[in-house]
Amino acid sequence: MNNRITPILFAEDNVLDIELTLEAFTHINIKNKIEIVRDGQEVLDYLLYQNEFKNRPIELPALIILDYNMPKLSGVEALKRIKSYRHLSNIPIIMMISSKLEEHLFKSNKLKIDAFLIKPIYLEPFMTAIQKIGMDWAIFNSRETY
Amino acid sequence: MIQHGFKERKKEEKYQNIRNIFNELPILYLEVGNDFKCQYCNSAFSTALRVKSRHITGKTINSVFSQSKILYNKMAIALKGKTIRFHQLLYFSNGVKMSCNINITPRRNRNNEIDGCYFVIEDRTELVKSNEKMLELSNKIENILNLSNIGTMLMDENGRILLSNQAAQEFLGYDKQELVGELLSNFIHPDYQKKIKSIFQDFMTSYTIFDVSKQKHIRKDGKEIWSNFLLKSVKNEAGKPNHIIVMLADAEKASNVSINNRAAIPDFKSVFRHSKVGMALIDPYGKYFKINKALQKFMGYPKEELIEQSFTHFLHEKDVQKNIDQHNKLFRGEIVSYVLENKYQRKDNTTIWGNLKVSAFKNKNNKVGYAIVMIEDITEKKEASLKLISYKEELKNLVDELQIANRDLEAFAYSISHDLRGPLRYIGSFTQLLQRKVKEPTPQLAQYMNNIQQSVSDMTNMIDSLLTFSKLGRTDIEKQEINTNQLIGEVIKELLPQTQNRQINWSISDLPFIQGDYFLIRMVFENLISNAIKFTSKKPIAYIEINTLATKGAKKTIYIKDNGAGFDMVFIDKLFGVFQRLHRQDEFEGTGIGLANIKRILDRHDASIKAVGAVDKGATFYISI
Repeated sequence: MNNRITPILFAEDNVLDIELTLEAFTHINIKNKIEIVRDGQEVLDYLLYQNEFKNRPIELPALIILDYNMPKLSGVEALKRIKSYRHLSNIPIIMMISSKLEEHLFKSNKLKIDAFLIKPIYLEPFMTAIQKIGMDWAIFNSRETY
Repeated sequence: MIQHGFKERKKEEKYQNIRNIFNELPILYLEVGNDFKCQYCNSAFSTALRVKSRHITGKTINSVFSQSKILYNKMAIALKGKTIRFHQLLYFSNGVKMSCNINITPRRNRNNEIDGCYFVIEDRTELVKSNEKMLELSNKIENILNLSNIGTMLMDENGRILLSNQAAQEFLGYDKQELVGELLSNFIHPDYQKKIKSIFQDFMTSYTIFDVSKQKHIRKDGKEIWSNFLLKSVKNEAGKPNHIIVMLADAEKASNVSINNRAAIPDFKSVFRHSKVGMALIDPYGKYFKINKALQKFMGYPKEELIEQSFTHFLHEKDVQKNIDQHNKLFRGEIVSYVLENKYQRKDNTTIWGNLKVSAFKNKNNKVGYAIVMIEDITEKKEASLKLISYKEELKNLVDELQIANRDLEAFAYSISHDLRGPLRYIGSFTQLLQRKVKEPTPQLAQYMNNIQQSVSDMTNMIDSLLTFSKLGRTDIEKQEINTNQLIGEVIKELLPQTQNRQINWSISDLPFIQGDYFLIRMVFENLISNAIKFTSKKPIAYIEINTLATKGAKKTIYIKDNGAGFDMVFIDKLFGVFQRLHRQDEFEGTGIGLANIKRILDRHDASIKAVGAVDKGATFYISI
C-alpha cells in the first residue's frame, strides 16, 4: 500500500486564473499537490520529463487541467499530443474554457476529454465545480492506482 | 413461186448476202413476195415476235401483222416501184406492239421486174418514249423558268438555244419559236458577235460560270438594248459540259450596282438608299465602297471620308481587334456572317453605339467578294443597359460591403464580449474573495461590495446575450421537423422554477409541426414563454395561451398570448431591437436582447414575428413559420 497521493497538473497562463483556481482548491481541502505549468509545451515537458522537468520524480499526475487558450501549444494541441502517447492516454483531462460559446468545440468533438469547465464569473460556483472534479477524479484516481 | 434456174441461183446468192448482213443487225428485216407471202425474216424479226422464223416464212403478211390493210396498201404502192418510208405503230398478230419506222423497198429480179418487197423495220419504241419524256421535261423546265423574272435560256454546247423563258423572250423581243434552234449570237448586235463567240469558246473549255457584261442586242422591233450575261455550264454524266444556262439582265437597269463587276440585285438599291438602318458594302480590305445615307448620318462623316478609310478608323479602339478578327474570318470563308456590338467614334468626337451585322456575299468563284454591312444605332438602349449594369454593380458592391461590415461587426462583438468576460470574471471572483477575507465589514463596505457584485452580474448577462446574438448570425441552420407541442412541454417544464408561488392558467392547443433548427426554435419559445411568465408576474392570475391560427399558404402561425404588463404599440419599433427595453429594470429584469434574438432566429428561418399589445392588457406574439 502506497499512500502517496499523485499531483494534479494544472496548465494556465493567466496569473489571476491561477490564483483563483488555487484558492478554490485550497478551499475544498484537496490533498493532491497542484503542479502548475504555464503553457502547452510545458505540459508535455512535465509529462515526458523534459527540459526543466528532466529531474523531477517519476510519477504521472492523477488529473490534468488544461486551459483552452494558452500560448505556444494551445489546450487542444496539448491534448492531442498527450492522447498520442499510449501511457498518457488514460489520464483524465479537463479543459477549462472561458465562455459557454466554446462548448461546441468539445460537444461534437473527436477529442477525448473527460470534462470541460466553463470559468465562472464568481468564485462560489467555481469552487463547487472544482470540488466535484476533485471528488470524481483526483482523489478517487489516486486511491485506485496506489 | 420460186424457180430453180441459174439466174435464180445467182439471185438467191444476192439475197443471201443481204440476209446475212441483216441477220447481224438489230433491225427487223422481212422479205415478202408479190404474192404477199413472207419469204424470209431475219433473227431480229423472229426474236421481236417471239416465234421461230419457219413459222413466219410462207405466211401472208395479214397473218403476221394485225393492220394488214395499211401494209397491203403501202406494199401495193411499193410493188409499183416506189420506196415507201413511213412511221407506224405496228401490232403484230401475236400481240406484240411496236412503234416503228418502216421502209418498204421494191425487190427486182434479174429482169428488173418487181417480184416482192423488202421490209426494213426499225423499232423506235424506246426512242419515242424517251422523246416524250424529254418533251415533258423540257415543258416542265420551261414552266419553271417562266416563273422567273430573270431572262433565262438553255443552250447546247454550240450556243444554240434549246429553251427560253418568257422573260428572255420579252427582253430579246422574239417569241419562243423564233428563238429555239437558233444561235444566241444571232440575237446579238453584229459589232459584238465576234466577242461573244470567242467568249463562248473560252467558256466551254475553261469556265463553269462567267460574267459577261454589256452586250448590245437588236430586238425584233429594231430597238437596241444592252444586257449583262451570266453563263453557267451544265455538265453531262461524264463531267463534260454540254449545256449552258444563260441568264440575261438589263445592263442599263443594273449599271449602278455592277460598277465593280458585281451582280445586279433588283430593288436593292432603293432599299439601301431609303433604309433607316445604316447599310454599306465592304470589300475584303475593310473599305466601304457603298454607303447609304443612314450610315453616313450614324458615323457623322460625309461619304467621301468614309470611303477613303478602313472601317477600323471609325471604331472605338477597344473594339478594333475583335472586328478585324471577325472580318478576316468572314472573308476567309470560315463564317458567313457575324454580329457585334461596337462603340463608334464619330467625326465630332462623340461616341455612339451600333449593333453591327455583317453578311458575306459570294462572287462567281464562290469566294467572298464583299460583305453587306448593317449598323443599327443602339446608343440609347446600350446606355440604359450600361446604366442598369452599373447600378446593379453598385448595389451589389454595397450589399457585399454591408455583408462584410455585418460579419466584421459580429466578429467584433463576439471577440469583444468574449474578451470582456475575462476581466469581468476577475472582478467578480476577487470581490467574492474580498468579501470572505474582510471579517465583519461595515454596512457601507458590504453595500459597496454588493453593488460591485450586482454590476458584474448585469454585465455578464449582457455580454452572454450579446455573444449569443452574434453567434446566431454565424451558425448554420439545420432544419428538421419539430413536434411543437412536445417542444413547448419541455420548455415549460424547464421554466417551472420561475412559476413557483404563481397561479398561471395555461391553455395550450394542438399545434402544427414546424420545420426549423431545433435548438434555435427552442430558444424562441423559451424566450417567449419566459417573457409571458415574467410579464404576468404582477397579475394575481396569469393567463397564457399558446394556439395556432388557420392560415393560407405553406406557413404556419403560432401565437403566444398573455394578460401581463403588455406594451404601448407606439414603441413597437423598439420591441425587437438589441438592448431595447420597454420596462424599467426594477419593474422587470432583463437585458433587452431576448426579442432581438428571436427576430434574428426567425429571419434566418425566413419566418416572421409580429407583436400586438396594450399597456397592462397583455401582449400577443404571432410567429409565422
